[in-house]
Amino acid sequence: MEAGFFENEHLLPGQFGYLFVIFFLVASSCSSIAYFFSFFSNDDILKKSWLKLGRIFYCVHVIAIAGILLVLYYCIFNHLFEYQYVWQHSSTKMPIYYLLACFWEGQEGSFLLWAVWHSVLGTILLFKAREWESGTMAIFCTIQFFLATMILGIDILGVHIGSSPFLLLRDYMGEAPIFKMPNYLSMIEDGNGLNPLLQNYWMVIHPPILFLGFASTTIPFCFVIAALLKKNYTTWIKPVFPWMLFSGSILGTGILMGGAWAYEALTFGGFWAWDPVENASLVPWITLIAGLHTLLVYKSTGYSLRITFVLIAVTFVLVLYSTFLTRSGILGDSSVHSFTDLGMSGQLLIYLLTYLILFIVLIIYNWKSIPEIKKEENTYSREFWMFVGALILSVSAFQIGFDTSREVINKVLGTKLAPPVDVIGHYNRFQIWVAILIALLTASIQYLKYKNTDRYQFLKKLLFPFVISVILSFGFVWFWHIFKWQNIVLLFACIFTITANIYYILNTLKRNMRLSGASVAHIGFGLIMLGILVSAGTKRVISNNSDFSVEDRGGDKNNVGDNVLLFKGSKVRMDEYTLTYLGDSLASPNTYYKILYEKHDSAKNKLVESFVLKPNAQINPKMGLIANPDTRHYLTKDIYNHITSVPDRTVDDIIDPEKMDTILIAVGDTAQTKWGKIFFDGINPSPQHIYYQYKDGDIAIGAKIVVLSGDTNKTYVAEPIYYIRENKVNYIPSVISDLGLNYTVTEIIPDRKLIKIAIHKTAPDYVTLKAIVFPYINLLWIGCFVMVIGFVISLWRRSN
Amino acid sequence: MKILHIFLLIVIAVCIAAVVSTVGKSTTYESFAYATLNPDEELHVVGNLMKDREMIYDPATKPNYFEFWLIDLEGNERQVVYKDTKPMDMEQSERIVVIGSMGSDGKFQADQILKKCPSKYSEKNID
Repeated sequence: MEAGFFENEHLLPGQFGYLFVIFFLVASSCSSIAYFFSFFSNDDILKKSWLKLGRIFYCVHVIAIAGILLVLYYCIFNHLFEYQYVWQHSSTKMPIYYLLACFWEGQEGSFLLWAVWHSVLGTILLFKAREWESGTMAIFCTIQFFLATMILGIDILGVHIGSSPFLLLRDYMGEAPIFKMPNYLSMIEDGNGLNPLLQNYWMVIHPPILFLGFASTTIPFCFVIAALLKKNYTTWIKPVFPWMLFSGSILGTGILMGGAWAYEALTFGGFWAWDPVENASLVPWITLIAGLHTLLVYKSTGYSLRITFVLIAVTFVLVLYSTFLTRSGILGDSSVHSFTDLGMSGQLLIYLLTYLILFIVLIIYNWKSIPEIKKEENTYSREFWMFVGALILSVSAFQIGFDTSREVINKVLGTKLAPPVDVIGHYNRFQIWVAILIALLTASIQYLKYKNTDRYQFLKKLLFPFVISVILSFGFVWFWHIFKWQNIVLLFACIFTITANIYYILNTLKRNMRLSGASVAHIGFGLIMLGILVSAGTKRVISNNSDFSVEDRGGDKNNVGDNVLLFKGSKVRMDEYTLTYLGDSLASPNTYYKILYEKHDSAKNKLVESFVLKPNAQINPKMGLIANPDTRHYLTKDIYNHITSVPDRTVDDIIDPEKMDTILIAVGDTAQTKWGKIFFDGINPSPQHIYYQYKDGDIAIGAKIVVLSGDTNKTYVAEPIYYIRENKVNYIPSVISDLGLNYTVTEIIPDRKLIKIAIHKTAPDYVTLKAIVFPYINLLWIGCFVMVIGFVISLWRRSN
Repeated sequence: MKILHIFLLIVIAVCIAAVVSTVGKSTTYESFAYATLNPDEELHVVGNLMKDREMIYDPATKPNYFEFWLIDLEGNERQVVYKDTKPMDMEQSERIVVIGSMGSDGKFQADQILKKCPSKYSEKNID
């Protein structure tokens, strides 16, 4: 249909958007070509002029990305629902920070976010890389070129390439009859909005950090490829080191934030569920950390150069692979949060294979000429054990990666392997040994010197932290009731890491914090592992209140589960607490369920502690109950609880005459109903309710009713609302939950000054609740901070 | 032989062990018919919720008992018992994966229910 047929469309921003994407694509490829010419040119003048050209194109590409960013935000903030991306991911009701976040909710936006971070990092690289500029930027721009194709959304030779964030809604679903009408835009009241599962402040901070982490792995990869192309195997090490540290800290932070999000806001029942999407971002981080350590080995001794090349390249390819896993829809049934397929899996695969094959070819071609020291490492040297540590990390990455790829294997081999029933147990059984070995290595390796170490000195220095750790471990085993022997070994290994590294800072480094980055990060690692071990290993569900279920619920012994049932107002005992469900309150779109926790000292018969937790849930018409936990934090434990079910208010059995009564009543009159007397006090001409907001042209009344219950001899007030909007009658009932009664004004008869009130009995108000205690989870969070601080110290030292 | 070579061999051995354990520990996607024949086996069954059959969930008496009918991909219909609260978006799910084993009473005992909403949160129609 020709443009101009439709009313009120804003086509200009979209056209600008497409234009900027094409600029992005063309400029990045031109920049790459220019940089390649500069890189391979032997003539100094040519080299310089190509370099200049490359920089100019790079600047154009940055401007183009900024343009795309601005246009997309312009569309989002102005609610231009003629664009599919805007309609799909945002709505007019969303607060500004979610509008900011809906930018990266969709796949197109997240690719764009990636490209934006690339453009920032690339600019830093451009200024910092010096003699490596042409080589790294040439590779870097090819990667940007690939990302540009992801958001292109144009047919080339009959093949649809990429998915554009500027696609028009009417092109997206053109077959719908609504799009045959010129005024279709006026019929779209609002956008689809941000997925309620993601409506959380973590959505605003976690994806940008994680994508910055992903983007940062690109730069070491560019160095690797440039070094292999140039056959200059050594001078790239120094400039790449700060990038590796940066990448390790940011990607690590991003992953841990994901864990914190899962713990705090999603009801995974923990911070790590070994979900494929989580794993997919963890695996490259592990290989990155392995690569960081072999890089250090090479810098100090000249060993381990080949494996460093491999690990850095593998990290980048794994980032692409993780993108492929989450975006291709291949995870399908096995993940709780996989994306749907936008038909870009083929493109992603090409992207992944291009760089994988490029690297494999280059590394095979260069393998023999990469310098390696022929002499074997001394077993009493730091480099030997760091290499072993890197190998162990690689095995760990392999196991996680292989297991996560189950769906890919099924696709390729036609098998039908399903994940193990106990997914978490399956990974833990294997990874606990990795954690133990790595913890033991991080405890002791620092006491080894490069090249060779005096055995006596080494053992002597380690003895003190070792003895301390053994003593502490005994104490903690008893204190935390850890009885599984594997867990005891891990407990010891973690404590040994922490004490040995603290002792190293105090004794060997003489408290020189400038040098202590690695030790601090290792202490953080030990704390994280310890926190995981203790909180996950000794967590317990406390809401499986068997005595309540069995006695009060007809002696059904099978009815013992993880969820406790709370009727409104009645008290239930759970663990050491007495729980009362006080009621709910709506703060759209979430309903908060107020649960009173009281703890009594039975000896003194005194209330010792009392607090209210407000887990919330969103009853979403499309997705059902979306629960968000509320957690009581103590220094030594968390009580984590979330709502697991609430009465379904949508299927009220109004038709059942037994549960219903109707009366006609005039102002000032009293009437007898099936359940007590009611008095019609008067009319409120401007009623207010959480579900009702006055709009121009409304005719609205609230009927003030006083109810005297025969059972309780108490009076209650209700105010059902009746309003007419745009010639349609609407009712907002009023519930007296103590009586379980629901009052609705169903009719107004103005000439007789009567109103008709329908009363029906509602189901009793209740919630079911699941509560879990996580002991000492704060160790985990402290560990995260400490580790990141360690990275920052190292980064600060190495970049100076 | 270098000591590192020994380590490399160990690493390779561990990797193979990991693969074997993955394949060995993996359950498979099976049908209810298979589950009936192998009551001791923990497995995954993929199917569709039978929306016309009765769904039993009465949280006011049994908050931890949920029963529903599932038709697997081969067309076998079975009742599934899930000893937990009813997942709220049950009705919206198109495909459901139940993980567990067949009970002696002919009802599938699910330890976990995974719901798959193909488009998660996108709707194709606007009116």
